[in-house]
Amino acid sequence: MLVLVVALAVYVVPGSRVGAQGAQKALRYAEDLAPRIVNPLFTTTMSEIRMNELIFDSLFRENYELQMVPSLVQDYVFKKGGTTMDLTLRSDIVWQDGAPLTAKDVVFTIHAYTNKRTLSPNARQVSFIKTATATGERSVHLVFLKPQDYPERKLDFQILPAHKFRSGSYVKRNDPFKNRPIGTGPFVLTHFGDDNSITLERNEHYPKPISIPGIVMKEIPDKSQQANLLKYESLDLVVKVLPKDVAALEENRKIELYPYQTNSWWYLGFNLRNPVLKDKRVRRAIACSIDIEELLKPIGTGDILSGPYVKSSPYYNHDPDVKPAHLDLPRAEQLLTEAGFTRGAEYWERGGKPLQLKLSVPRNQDSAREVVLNLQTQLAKAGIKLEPSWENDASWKKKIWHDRAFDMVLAVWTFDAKEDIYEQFHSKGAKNFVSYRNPEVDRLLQEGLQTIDPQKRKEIYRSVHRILNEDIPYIFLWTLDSYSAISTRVQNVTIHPFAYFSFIEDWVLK
Amino acid sequence: MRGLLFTIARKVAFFLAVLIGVSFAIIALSRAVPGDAIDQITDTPEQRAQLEAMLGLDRSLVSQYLHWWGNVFRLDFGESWVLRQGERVSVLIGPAIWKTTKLIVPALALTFGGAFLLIALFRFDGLPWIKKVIGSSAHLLSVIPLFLLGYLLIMAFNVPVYALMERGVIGRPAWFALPAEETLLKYALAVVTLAVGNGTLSDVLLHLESEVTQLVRQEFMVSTRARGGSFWRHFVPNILVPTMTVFVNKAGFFLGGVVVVEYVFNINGIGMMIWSAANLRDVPLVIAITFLVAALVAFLHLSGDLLQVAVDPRVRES
Repeated sequence: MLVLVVALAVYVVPGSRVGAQGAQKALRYAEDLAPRIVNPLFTTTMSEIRMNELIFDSLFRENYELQMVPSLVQDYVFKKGGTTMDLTLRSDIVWQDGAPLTAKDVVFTIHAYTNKRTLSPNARQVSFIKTATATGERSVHLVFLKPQDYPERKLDFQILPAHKFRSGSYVKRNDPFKNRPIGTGPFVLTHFGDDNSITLERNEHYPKPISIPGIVMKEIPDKSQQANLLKYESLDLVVKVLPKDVAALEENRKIELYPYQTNSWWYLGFNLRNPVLKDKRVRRAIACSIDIEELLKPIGTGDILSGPYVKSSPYYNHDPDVKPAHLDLPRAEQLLTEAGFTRGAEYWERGGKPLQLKLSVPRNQDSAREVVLNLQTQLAKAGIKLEPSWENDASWKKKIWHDRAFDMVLAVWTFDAKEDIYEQFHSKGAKNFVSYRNPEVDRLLQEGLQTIDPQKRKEIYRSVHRILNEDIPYIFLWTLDSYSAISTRVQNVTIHPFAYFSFIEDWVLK
Repeated sequence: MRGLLFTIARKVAFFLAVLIGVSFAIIALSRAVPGDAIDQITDTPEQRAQLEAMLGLDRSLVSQYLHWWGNVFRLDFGESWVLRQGERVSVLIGPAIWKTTKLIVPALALTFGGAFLLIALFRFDGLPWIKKVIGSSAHLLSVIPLFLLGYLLIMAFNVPVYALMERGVIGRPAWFALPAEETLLKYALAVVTLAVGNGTLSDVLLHLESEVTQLVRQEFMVSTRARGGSFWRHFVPNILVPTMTVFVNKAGFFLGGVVVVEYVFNINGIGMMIWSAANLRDVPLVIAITFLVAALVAFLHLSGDLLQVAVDPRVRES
């Protein structure tokens, strides 16, 4: 019966011919959740960052060696340690509607970001700029708040077309631009589908030839379904595959797996307001009760870390004395005993109460379930009771960021190329929900932001790394190897570790 | 006649009270749940106060509620805060409602049509083992949870067709692979899943079978048949009211089931939208969808009650 129905479906049931055949000419990729808005001013999610990378361009961008090189800029004058910079824009760049790129666009973008009425979550990206002035049709004069050593690194925000906005120097979230965004990037957004798909076509005005004629972004919330659709050639690219799907995809000769390391790392954070966890000996004892390698094994491969940077970062402290946390149960016992705990029948106890901690985990974090189950088992063996609770993103943020109602958190931080950890570890940092406070770290982080000497900054951040490793406000876990699965139809692929599609102009679609 | 008008007025008043109560409950609940939309659109603490003012979160519950009703009277459900930032809710939910309607209406027709067909088959004399096999299969299929039934149906089509394609036996069908393409087959399978899974078909079948059995045993039905009178003339109006009752109850249940079915079949209808909107604390979207769904369910109940008033003289007299 089923065979009959399938046969009927194959030959009789009509389908969307455009969807099936037209899409072959385009690169089709999947996102768990479609971009909520296509406007760099309001971008907060990775799917939005990837989409922006296809449509917009910036003054400077990273090359294959991840060095900043001019993109929309033709020439520039800047003296190291200076507070001004003069930029000349390229003359061959036009917006996707045919209008030329001018200095007004750059000035408008900077004003739009900084204007308080815009309420841009990314305003900090341009906060180092004091003034921006158009000194000619294609010339911009920038004045910085403080001396800079390498401002190119910060001038990577995407430029918007001033002529498309009518609201002066600020932009509203509901500006019609979100439905008809145009940029100077390699692709033009042509259609928002009511299935939440987004269709893009090659930008014929782009100064460099592009092989891929079009792109279709499809929203497919289930990651396993994404992997299946890639196998069935209904998709060409899955941005990040689940570790459990890696082996099956690896065997498929029509699919290539691309490992790439993102600037992101997993951690276990301690609530330092908690009287038990305030004691460094208890935090260290917990770290000594965990076998991080065993936690990592079931969810994939990666580098185990000793501090708040990935190993490829210039700020990572490779000093052999700065070691990642590792299993050492005798040391854990010694530390807990010193902290006044005695070993009960099942758990360590103090004042008649067992050492019991609540672990808060965001529900949408991939692979966290396996980690939590293993962690619970490991800590139980060491005499520490862990009670995990799973929260959706909104209630997790409320509980952790605002109410600080947790003992420990398991989460991931993702950074752009600047790797700025000020917000996480400065006592006044907006993301310092663990309530970490160390005047020396505050001073170093402040100094790191102000210094214009790259070598000095490296030394400063390596010192921060060493202190955090010692103070243990977090147990730094690992950076996970991510895998993108891409059809062999797509060739010459290089993936940018943060923005993903930065080098798509060189990709080839067979 | 006055009594009838009073009954109708009472039912309509109850319908309106449900709308007022439900809308207040949804808005109160949206404020009570932990987390808010602001955390989803910025992590800059300095912007919180401004965003609260912009989104109306600094208003009191009553003020927010009255403001919302004021907008609803102008057919304005506001703008999405997170899921599609700045987009009108009315623009967003239109296509989603249409997609969900394309699922629910055929699914209800399939469940009730299928149940009556099976009852007719069971009441047919002869072929006892065939009836047993069909009946058991229907019940067995129906107990499968929605998500599992959906995934099984997708696999049942994708796996063999891909194998045939790989061997060069057939070309790539336009619908392949499920559920990536927006095709009739995808919707047909989603409708079957919704109509049958989670015990829906089984439940409706048992209810209606019991109602039919009771009805045909009634004295007036037996005597009508004995007199050679029209069976259907008496059967149809009398089975309509219990059918409507089961239908109304199941319609509400279906609206819950679409969340799962739309997720499995990747259909961006009301179910997927409310799931995402609730997770992201997109309050205007959640309120609009929940209000419309509650209004629809309340309207179906009202229609069921009015139908009962129209066809049952005992209700009219009471």
